[in-house]
Amino acid sequence: MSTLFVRTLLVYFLMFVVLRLMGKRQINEMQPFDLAVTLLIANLASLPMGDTAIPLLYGIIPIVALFIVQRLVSFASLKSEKLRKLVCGSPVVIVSHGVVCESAMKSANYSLSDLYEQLRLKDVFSLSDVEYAILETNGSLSVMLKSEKQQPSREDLGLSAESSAPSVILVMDGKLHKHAVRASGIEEKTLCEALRRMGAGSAEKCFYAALDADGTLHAQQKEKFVEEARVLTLSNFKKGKQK
Amino acid sequence: MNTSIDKRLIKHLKNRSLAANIALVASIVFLAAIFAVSVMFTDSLHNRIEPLVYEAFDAAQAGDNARVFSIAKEIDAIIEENETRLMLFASHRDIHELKRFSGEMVELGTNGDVNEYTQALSGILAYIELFAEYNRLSIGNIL
Repeated sequence: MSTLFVRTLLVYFLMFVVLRLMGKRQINEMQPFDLAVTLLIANLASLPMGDTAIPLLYGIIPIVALFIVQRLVSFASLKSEKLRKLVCGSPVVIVSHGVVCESAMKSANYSLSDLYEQLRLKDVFSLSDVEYAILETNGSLSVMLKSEKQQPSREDLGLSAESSAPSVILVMDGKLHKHAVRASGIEEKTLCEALRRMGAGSAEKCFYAALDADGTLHAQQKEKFVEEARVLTLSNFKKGKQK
Repeated sequence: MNTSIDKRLIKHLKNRSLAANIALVASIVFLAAIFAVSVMFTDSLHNRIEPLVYEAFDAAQAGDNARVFSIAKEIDAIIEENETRLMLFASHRDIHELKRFSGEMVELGTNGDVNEYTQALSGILAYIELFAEYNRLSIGNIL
């Protein structure tokens, strides 16, 4: 029984390394081919894991071989557009100028129900609102609405567009992210003082602290240090901090 | 975002790509080494045991049971000595069967008859050939 346990650990470690090195993302972002290879690896891993009569190498060799082939195909696909099309396929235009392309749907085995389902998932409830719909190689649908149905942008409304950037996490679960603090151009001491001023106490007591692009500092204390958790805000903590 | 973060991100991605490429090369080397070592090992085991088996066949036919017993112990010792390495490349069930046959030979000692010796020796030979054959790259094995 302990053999099964040790084998499981070894195969788990191998699977972890291989899947990380293959650069896989979420399942819904995978190409069908990538998904098939991932499932194949999972299946191969389960064989020596569950049967101690099978040498561990019988599972390791096919997994390593699939990793090699997958890496080589990925590399070749990056270099050759033809191979990329062969491996990943090409996007299919399902709706063009508001007209559903029946032959394209047939060639992609894509039904009207599938189209409506994907549109609903994109908060589009009428086919007549769609100017273009493209079935991507990973099976997702990209939708471009007719211009009169599109949301106006700041530019359309004549509003000034301020440059924006995602907020930077400075403290996470009581731990100070020193590199993030340095990259934000502030000193640790200044941040700790600001946290104290906000009433968040020290960095160790913070569940998180984040700095917005406009220089506003947000922090929330850990539940064990406060009776009621709330977000504390300090405006203009760092003016013009991020570019 | 701050430009220094971008640089770090790029460096991180480059490192990840480099790690994947190193892993790719290491994997190819690993597989090549495994293929070479497994073939060398099973062939060497086959080449060591096969002549002994034929010698034991001849001795059994000639009624030289003492010689058969001595060879049986030699074969058993070789299998015992190489068991762990063999377990890397061959089915553990097959290795168990091979050990059963070699154990039978030792248990028979000098008191077995020709048929009993022949049966056990045939079993040993069959499994040793099986290990060597399965590790060879051939059209038949691929198919």
